[in-house]
Amino acid sequence: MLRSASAAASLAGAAVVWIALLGPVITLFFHVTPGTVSSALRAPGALTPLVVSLEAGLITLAVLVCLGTPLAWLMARGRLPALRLWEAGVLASLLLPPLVVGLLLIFMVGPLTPIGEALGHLHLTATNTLFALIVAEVYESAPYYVLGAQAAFAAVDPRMEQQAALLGDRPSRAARRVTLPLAAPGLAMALAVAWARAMGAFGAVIIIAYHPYGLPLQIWTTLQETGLASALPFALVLLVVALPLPVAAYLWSARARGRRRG
Amino acid sequence: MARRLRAWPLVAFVTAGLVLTACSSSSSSSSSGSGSKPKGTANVAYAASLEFLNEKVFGPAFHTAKGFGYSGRAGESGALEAEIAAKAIAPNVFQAVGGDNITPLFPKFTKWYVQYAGTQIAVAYNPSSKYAPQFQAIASGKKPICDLFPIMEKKGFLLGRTDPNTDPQGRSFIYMIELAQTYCHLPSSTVTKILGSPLNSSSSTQVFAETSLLAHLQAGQLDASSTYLSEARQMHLRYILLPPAINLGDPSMATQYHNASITITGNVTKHGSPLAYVMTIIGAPTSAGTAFIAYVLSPAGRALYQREGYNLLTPTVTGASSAVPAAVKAEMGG
Amino acid sequence: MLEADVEVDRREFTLAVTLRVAPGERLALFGPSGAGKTTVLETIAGLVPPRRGQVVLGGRVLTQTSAPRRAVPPWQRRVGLLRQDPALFPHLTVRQNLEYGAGPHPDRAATERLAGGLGIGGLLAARPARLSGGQAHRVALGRLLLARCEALLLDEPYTGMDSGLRRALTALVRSLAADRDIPVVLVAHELAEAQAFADRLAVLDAGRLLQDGTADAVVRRPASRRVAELVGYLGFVPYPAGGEGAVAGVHPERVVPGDHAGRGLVLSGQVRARHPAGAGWEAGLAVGPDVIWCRLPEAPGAQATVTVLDPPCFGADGRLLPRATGVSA
Repeated sequence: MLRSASAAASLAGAAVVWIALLGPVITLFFHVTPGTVSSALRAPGALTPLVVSLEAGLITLAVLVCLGTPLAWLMARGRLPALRLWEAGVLASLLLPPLVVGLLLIFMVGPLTPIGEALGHLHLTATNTLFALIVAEVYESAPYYVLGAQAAFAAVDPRMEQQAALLGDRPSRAARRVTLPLAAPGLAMALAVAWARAMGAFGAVIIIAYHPYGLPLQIWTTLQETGLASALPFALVLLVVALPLPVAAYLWSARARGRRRG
Repeated sequence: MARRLRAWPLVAFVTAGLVLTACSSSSSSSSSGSGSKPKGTANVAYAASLEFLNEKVFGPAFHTAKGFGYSGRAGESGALEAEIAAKAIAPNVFQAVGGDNITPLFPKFTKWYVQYAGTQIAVAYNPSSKYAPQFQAIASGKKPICDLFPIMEKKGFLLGRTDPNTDPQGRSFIYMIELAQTYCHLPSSTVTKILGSPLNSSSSTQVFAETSLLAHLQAGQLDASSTYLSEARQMHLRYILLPPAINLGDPSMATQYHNASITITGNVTKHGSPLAYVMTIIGAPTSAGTAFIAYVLSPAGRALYQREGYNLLTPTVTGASSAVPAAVKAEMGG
Repeated sequence: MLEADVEVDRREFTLAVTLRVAPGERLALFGPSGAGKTTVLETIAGLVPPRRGQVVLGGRVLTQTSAPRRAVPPWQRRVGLLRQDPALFPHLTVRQNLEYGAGPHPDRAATERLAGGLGIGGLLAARPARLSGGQAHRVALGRLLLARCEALLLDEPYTGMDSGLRRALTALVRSLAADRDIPVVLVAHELAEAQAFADRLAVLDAGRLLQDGTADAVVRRPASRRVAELVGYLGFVPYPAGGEGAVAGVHPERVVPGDHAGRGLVLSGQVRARHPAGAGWEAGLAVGPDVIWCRLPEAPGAQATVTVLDPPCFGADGRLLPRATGVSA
């Protein structure tokens, strides 16, 4: 009897915390109706921010996977000298408020900076373009991915890689056949978090990529142009569009882990 | 055992930190020292171009002089009006650029406003820009002002301005270019050559959020940008003064300014008007809010505005003057 | 032929070992915990670099610290290492684990034959998480065998297995090693395991190789008192005929009841205590100030005489004394 009472108490406590955390999401559903959502989406040009957000988000994910995964692997395997320094660097970029990241990006990749001018030779501008939006989203979400991926790689027992080496695999082959599959569930979850950050990126985006509008900027400008009531439906759209990917990643990750635990 | 002991200091530290934060935030929100007589805080929503003035100069001066607390929130005038109308924010005082940002709130939130000061559009420029020598020559008068616009037409010219759909400054800059096209007898394609098309498009690469615009200019990543003269002076930017016929700063030229127009979101057409600051009380007057407006109109307050680069205009009331609080009327001296 | 002559720095001591294992030969590395046995295997496998030394397998130099320096990476050594933790890949099936090192086109029939031989033929489609400890070890062993290693290093691989399984696997490894003619090194810290498996025994203690010889030689004629202690001599009684401070080693399994002078050292004393051992009793016999344990039927309190068959005797410096004829107390 005691066990079920304390189990019920834990459940109740957890439910209270969970509902408190979900408060804003729940509130959102009280303030939008299917009617408002459909009329907001049917306005001319209303679907463009949705497409822009998705495009930029997916490209950001690709950039994170290609550039962030090797870095995270090296950091996890301790193959870098002064490893704590590398970690501190990633943490520092995480600690900077996104707004500040955006302001500093102006100094780094603005059109008249050396990097900006080099980009210009490639016909790329890192101000107010889709490229700029991707840059802002990458900077806002990269630390989350790198740190999560590092943890995922660190959780892979190095003896597995040793065994693969003893069975004839070069390190790159062992990484492909053993480390990566074993780290994949953790990597998927880190990517899910990074996706959520990228889709909701605002602070750096409003500074260097005011346009093209993604959904967060759409909400912001609609709020200023026509008020709160017409801005909230886009928040629901953002939720609906951004949620499936991380949920799928979590489900797949849980199943993969379950299979391995037998 | 040792692990449990070590957890307690951490818990105590965190709790102490939370308590301290709660105490300090509650004391700062009351914002008045012990022993000051008037109670109340003036909650002021104001156009972003007043931010430096209100936060750094005026708010503290008001608090020192009158004893009331001051709490301010900046925003783009049109956006603030929308938030007030939606009851998302509830300030005591609303300061905007242009009376047409207050009239939509009649009569539910207020019935009057008073126009009291003004500013004008100027063009701020980056002293390290490759066009800087030419800008300097124009600014010092060695070259005519009309030479400015062909420079802005050049390919690769990095111009910055704000969103005309949400920011009066964004619209004012467009009016200025339109007026300049007439004033300087430039070809009719000049406006679109400088600003791109369609005019109200916020997807132009020239359009930035307000904070971002200043940051870009100060980081040297723009050649020139739109600015209010008051802001340029406060931020110590290099700028080019524009003639009254196009700078939207002279109330006597209102009809001329009206010739410039732009159609924004929702198919609303807005016309140029003098850049006048207007203010009103939102909802039932509070003693703090009334005192704030009275202080703005007082000689001390007006001296502050003048010092920070704003033009002083004779206070004029629009709307139901019977609704204007007595204390405010007193400062206007009839 | 596997040859290793290495010095490896460890925290408490420096390991210095020289081994030679012929193809088809089985060497057991025996010693207490912390002696450095696992380190020797890891050095041969290329996972730990030696401070100084050389490892050669089948004529190929795998490690050499003197000029010309060589350090062949583990994935090119063709050395198979089976550890206590079998480290099966959890995301692959048993068949995929087995065929991991067998190249891009593994012979599926060969896999099935080997799996059958190891008693895991029915588990090929299962995942490692479903296997018992013994099954996992067999898969790990099979994985090494299919990867065509040129030497097998087994690090206490039978820990946690019941004796029946242990015997079966020992027999399997012996026959496979003989078939393929590869050197095998097994690490054990139980003497019975080492003796069951190996032709030769190498005794390691605190990083030093104390004795290397056939199992029989090591146990019957341990090179020093320390080796005797490690291989199971439980008692040491004074042996004056050997000189000042000499002792004779007593192994409980080399003691027979009765007086058989001429076959060894005769000792008499009183039985102090006894406990059940196997199918009989092990009793503590007090001989002077020492107590020796041996198998005796007598109960505590009784007087008994025993003969220690051909005991090794050690001088005061701990080293083995040459055999003398006609030993007696």
